[in-house]
Amino acid sequence: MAPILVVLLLWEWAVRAGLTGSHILPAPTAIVARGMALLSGADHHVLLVHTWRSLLRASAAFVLAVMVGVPLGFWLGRDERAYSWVRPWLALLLPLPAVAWTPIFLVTLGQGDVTIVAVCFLGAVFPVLISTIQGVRAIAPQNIWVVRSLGAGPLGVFLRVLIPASLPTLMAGFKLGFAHSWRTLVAAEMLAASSYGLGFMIFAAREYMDVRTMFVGIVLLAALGFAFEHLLFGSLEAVTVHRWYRRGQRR
Amino acid sequence: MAIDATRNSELNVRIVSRRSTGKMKRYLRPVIAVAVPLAIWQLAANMGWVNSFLFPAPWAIAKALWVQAGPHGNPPYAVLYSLLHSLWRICAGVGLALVFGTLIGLAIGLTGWGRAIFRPIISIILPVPTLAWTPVLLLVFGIDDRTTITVVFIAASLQIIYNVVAGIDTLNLRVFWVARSMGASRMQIFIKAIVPGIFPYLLTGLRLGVGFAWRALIAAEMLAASSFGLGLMISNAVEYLNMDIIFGGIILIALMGCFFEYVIFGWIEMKTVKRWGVQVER
Amino acid sequence: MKQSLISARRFGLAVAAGALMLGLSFTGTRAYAAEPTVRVGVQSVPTDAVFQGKDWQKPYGVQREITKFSSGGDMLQAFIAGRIDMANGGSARLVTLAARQPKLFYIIAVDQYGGDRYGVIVSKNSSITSVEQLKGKKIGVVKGSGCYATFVLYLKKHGMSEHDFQMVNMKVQDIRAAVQQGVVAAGVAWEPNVAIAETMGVAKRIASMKGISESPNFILVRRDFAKTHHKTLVDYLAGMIDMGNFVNHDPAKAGQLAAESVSRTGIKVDAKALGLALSRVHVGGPVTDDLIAELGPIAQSMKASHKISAIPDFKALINTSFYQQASKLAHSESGK
Repeated sequence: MAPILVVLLLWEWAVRAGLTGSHILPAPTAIVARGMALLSGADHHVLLVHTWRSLLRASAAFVLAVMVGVPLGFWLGRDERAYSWVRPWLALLLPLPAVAWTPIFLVTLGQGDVTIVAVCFLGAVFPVLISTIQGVRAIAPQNIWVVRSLGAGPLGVFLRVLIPASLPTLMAGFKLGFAHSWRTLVAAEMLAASSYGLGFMIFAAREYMDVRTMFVGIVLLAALGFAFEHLLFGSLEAVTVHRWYRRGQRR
Repeated sequence: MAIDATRNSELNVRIVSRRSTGKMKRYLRPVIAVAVPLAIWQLAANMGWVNSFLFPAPWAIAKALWVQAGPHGNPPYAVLYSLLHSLWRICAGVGLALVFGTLIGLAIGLTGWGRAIFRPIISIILPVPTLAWTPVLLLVFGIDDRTTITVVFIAASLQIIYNVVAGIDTLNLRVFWVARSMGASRMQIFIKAIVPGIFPYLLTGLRLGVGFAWRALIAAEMLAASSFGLGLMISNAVEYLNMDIIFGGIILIALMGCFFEYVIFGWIEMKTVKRWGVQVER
Repeated sequence: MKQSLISARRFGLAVAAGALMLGLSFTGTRAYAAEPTVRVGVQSVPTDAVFQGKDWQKPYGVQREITKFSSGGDMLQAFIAGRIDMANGGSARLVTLAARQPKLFYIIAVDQYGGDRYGVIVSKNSSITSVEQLKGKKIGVVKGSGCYATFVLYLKKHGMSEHDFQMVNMKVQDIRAAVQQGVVAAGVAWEPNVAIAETMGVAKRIASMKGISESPNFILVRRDFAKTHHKTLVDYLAGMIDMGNFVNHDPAKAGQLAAESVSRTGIKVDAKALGLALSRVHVGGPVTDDLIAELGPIAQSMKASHKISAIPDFKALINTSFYQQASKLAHSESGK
């Protein structure tokens, strides 16, 4: 953590020494102070509201992506013919940044939550879908034959072979999917939010040149992204993959 | 909270055909799969089922793109300029990222001081949405290519660093011992053992980096670019209600993304696999 | 193998249905009010902040459903799609809309106008005091905006042309930082960007477009809504007239109200800056021939560059009856 501290100190010093204007790059202490003010009752805890809305949108998009991506992935992973029809669209849509959809969703779905969730959904669903397909397709058919010959029904095959065997890739896909959902959220909120959300806050602060509030939003986005990636999914991976299936981590 | 924890987080997302089907199926199916929905859309627009101002037909989109790409565009050759500007930004940013990303990756993977300095900084930066940098960069650099190229650089270099470090970590340390006991110098080990060892990882990092950078660039251009760029083309079209250009821009962005992913990297991989037997991790 | 496939499919269907329900529950939260409701689009501008700062239509019994847009283009798209009943628009965007969808809407009143709301700023340490001194230097502008078009007129009137300068296209929010950082020698921006930069103490205004053109922004309403909600519209406009009187009469107080309204989303902005910005804007008023006439040259230059195929008939879009009735109804007080 020492290098980070050094960077922060240098930054603080640069602002205090007047090397950079505080209206361009506010000092870390000023950002923290503004963040505390936004959290306090005086501003009606508005920062909490922004954060909560963003979390809600990103999670809703992620949950939808999992609900759509995983079953679809299982199907496409098992059904070669269907996969061959869908593949060209996946190839076309995968490299497309989800944000680019925003103008179209704004027309069809209007300003607000639905558009934001839809855009983030598109950001999250492809990693989830494709990792599921890859996970399922990587399963050797022998595994299924063995379990079936032991008398397992379709549900048994699903629970005992498909799910556990694809779990490592599935978890990696979830992690990536949430990361994409979170990354897309900022841009989608900047373009489509009607009220609240961290992206909206950054955008509105930019509109009125409130640089400190803008930085509060950016720092918070970074901190939350860090927390999801390392704490949430890190421990989730540890609990599921490492316990059930050690092949997950390529070490 | 080191980089190890995020290992595996960037999955190799690419669609690979496992079984080779018949030639007819292989080429015809994708064409049909894409053409049929487009035809339905065209029909819906022609029959007036949808508002053709808000949802222009594919043919109208193609025509608008063609006009804007020609001398009668506004400004002339607008689409071409936009495309070239986006390409220049991505090339410049990825080029920088390739140089600095590899160097930083090597520093982290091979030296104690590099690990101590860069690792914590990068593990903090990695989860930050790249786009969140845009407003900051705009303030610091102002509006010109520096901002967009930096966004590309950040997006791409993180992937490269990450994968290079992962590559070094997986190198079998015994290779070094063997080499040293056989009298190899440090330089020789570096060139003969480390470089080939991390090459596939570097390639993976580069490919993922380009993908991330392309997405970040488009978003950054939508919010920031000063002149041309596909993202700016879309955001200008939003301002002036040119739905055909919005759709056209999105299609172009998707096609370019496909081009990087399948044509360029497909070609690089084919060449390197043939020559050095490098198999990129999938 | 076949069987496992089917169960996976069924499972998928069930989950997809669940997802759909979840998605729908997001949309189903719109409140239905008993009072007549107008769905209005707003942006992050001081006049709209004043609009949001107080329920101006309340005395007239009209409910407002406000949607905030990040750009004027987005707002007009929602307007075309029928998601909002009222929008505001001017210059090139309004011309495009009039050319493409002439049967869609009426121009019923003025939202705001005034050349003074466009200003040229330089860094506070700059020795430059007039636009002439900027010749050959870089100027940050927003190409395609009404502000830029007015600036070009200004140059013409003072015997210069846009080719005497290096015009650097940027977003209006970036002009202040670009000027401050010295990326450009000057910037041409609209309010509140000029006033905020001045109040911050980082820039000074060396010229305004006052007297060059009024560059009006109009209030637009969908025809289908106007047909069925005649009285609601009149009542709504009465509230707008009150608001206009309030802003024009006491911009400082209006700035206070706008700053309070903005701060509700956690944004800190100097009330003085918004007051200064509002003092340079004229809010509201009837649609006059002079103001409409300003659209003519814009339409002509757009036709010349093939952006529109024909010059729209703006007169056919005007409907002043709502405003006339509203002005009799309005309390005409400076906004208690």
